[in-house]
Amino acid sequence: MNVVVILGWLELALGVGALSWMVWHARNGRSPAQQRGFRPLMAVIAVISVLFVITLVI
Amino acid sequence: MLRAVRSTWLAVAMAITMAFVATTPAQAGGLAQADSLSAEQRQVRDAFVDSYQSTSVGQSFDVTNADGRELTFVKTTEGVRVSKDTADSSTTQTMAADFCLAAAQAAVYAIGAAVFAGVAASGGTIAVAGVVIGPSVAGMFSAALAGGGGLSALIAQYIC
Repeated sequence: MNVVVILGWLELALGVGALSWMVWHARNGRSPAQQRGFRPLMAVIAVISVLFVITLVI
Repeated sequence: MLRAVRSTWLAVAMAITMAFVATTPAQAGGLAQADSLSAEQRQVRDAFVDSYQSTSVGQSFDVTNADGRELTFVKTTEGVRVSKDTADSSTTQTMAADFCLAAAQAAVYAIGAAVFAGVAASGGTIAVAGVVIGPSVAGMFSAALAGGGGLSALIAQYIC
């Protein structure tokens, strides 16, 4: 597998996982943004997205 | 259902308040009434008192009963206030918490970027709202969505 495919799968997993995680917390009356893992998760999404853009454009 | 749950919490809260108020011998009747609570109510009361005493002003704490119903209190200089009630989490009347739009956008864009990248990599086409998108355009969409997702994630770091 090349880098684009790996990053694409990572992007998909992160997107689905993050969305499910946020909805689960919100439905249980907790603010997702106040959870401990929120900022690291957003940081990982940002980094993977930037890497994905770079590999797609190059 | 909601009214019954709230009544239970109200009874517990009243008993807790009376227990707090009854600090002098003349008011010992309050404690006696508080002790007439059921075992579950006493457990909730004890959990509340323990959490209250170990929490500083401005901080929040949760009290959960045996059914998993939860109240979030915020300790104030005057006492406490209820900031969140998840008493109906087992029903359709769930109280949704604040949901950060930028974070949700980041996640949705990430999914879209991956899907369009998959279309571009397979060399196929995808129809969006009746418009057929080829692999090259799908690749561009993927890059744009990934860029948007990354930007939304960065924004979420600051505004959420």
